[in-house]
Amino acid sequence: MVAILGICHSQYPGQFLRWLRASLIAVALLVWGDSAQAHPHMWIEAKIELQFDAQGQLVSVAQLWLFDEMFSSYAKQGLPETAEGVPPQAELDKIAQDWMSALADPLSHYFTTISQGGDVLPVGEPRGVKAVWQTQTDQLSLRFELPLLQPVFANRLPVTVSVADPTYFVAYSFEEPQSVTARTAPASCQVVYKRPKRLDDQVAARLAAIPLSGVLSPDLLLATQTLQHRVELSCP
Amino acid sequence: MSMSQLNMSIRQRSMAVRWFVVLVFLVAASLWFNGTVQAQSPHPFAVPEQTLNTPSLGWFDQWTGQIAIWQSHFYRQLTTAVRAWKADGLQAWWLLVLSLAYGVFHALGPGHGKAILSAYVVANRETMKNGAILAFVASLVQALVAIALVGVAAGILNVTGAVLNEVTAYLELVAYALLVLLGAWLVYKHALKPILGLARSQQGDHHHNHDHHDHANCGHSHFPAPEQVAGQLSWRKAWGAILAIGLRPCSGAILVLVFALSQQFFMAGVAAALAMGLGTGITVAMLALTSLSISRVMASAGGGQQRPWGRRIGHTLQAGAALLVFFFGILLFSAAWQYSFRML
Repeated sequence: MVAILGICHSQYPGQFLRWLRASLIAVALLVWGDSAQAHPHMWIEAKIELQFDAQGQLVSVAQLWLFDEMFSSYAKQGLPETAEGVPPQAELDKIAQDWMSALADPLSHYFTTISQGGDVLPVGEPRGVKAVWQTQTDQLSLRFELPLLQPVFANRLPVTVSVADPTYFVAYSFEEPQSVTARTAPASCQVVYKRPKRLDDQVAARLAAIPLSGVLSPDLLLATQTLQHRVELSCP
Repeated sequence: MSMSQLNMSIRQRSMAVRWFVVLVFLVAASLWFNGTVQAQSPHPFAVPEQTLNTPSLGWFDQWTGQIAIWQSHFYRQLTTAVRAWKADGLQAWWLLVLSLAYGVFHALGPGHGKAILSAYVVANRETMKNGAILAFVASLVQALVAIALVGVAAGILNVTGAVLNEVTAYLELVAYALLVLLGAWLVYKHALKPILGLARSQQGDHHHNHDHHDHANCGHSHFPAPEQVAGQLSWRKAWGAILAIGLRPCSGAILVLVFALSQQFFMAGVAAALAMGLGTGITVAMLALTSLSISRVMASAGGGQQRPWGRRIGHTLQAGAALLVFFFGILLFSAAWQYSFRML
């Protein structure tokens, strides 16, 4: 299009610049509608249970995720139903296995990171995986445990469990009572739940623009750390 | 060789040259975009969702953030509203209002229908009325596609959500392929043809292509008035744009339809999807009309169609809008293509 203009009349440089600026604004106006933000499309009410061994070491982190009704009905669609209108457990087990293998992808990593003093603690294959159809509320829930490959004491350095979907497709909430528990913890332990900070819009949009495989710049990495639901365990 | 035969062969050769230019342009643009586009990989909890994350302009983020919050706010009440309607027919209005509001805000958020339509109407210099009609028809088609998809695939064939995701991904691919074709046609008509026509007229070749009078000659452009170009909406011309936008159903509509189906109350889902379509239509129409007004103001700033500068600005805007449709098409198609390879 610049070519048309260039060929036609180049003796009006001032007008050309004005025209150029005006068209850039027009293009921007056409494009702005598409500034995408990966707003949440599903909501999970989550619960975390920290599990300890007899010595008082943290051995695994169990989670219970309750999916919102809309997503639950979508997951249930097309499944056979029992007389009570509930999907048979065998079907739900299949779904749960599919989800767990998808969640095992390093990019998602069960949307969970367990770390101590800045080091990520590696976890083994998830255990106790179970999907349940909650008949009272028509919601699907998923339970699983992530076992630590090396159980840890949280006495010298606190252990942090962070939960978040880096793509913000899923919005987690830990607002229900008893959402974070540590029933088998030694008496000295303290568990604190830290709510994520509200994401500032500019950071949110920058994050939304980064492809999943992309690398976060240091300032974005710092920003995302405040976005996670954090459970901090310390046993001084 | 008779004179007419000679004319024919010259014409054929010039057509071939034109199509060669179009082809080279298409291939080059595809290669370039394929290198730059990265599609989102399927999410562990996949639902039919936009496959592309588009970068945004900083100053608009506050606004989109707020839109996302409003959209979620309406979306989260849809399930309750479907239940309320099922329990009491008088509660129907609540679902309809929510769905309409969801549609309005959804169209302001991610999604490319409005940008494509805005660019399309600017490229074709549609009248305001036609712009609005196109926006509503495309949104209505989008709602009807969602209703037909869920009604047949989920309601009658009882397929799973995973199959619905696949079908949506295929529809998306077809829609974006159509968009690429539509964009290529617009680019040819509004950008390449005027330039080619111009280059020829500068070489002293006064061959005039008389099937369309819209090549941009510097001195004596005989561009038809907008009323002649687009006074009556040409459905033959518009169906490509309508399908390119409407063929890909909106995820919110699919989800509410599936939910309504699970409640044995599909009609509520149909009503909600149509209300969402109306809401989307309102937003898309407003944005398309805004784009049309801006392009007109800009063309009249240059003196309007009677002045060379006004014409030039008009042509350039048309060409720019055509390029925009084409680039959106390539961008979306390559993202959907990569996504579908990972998913299907």
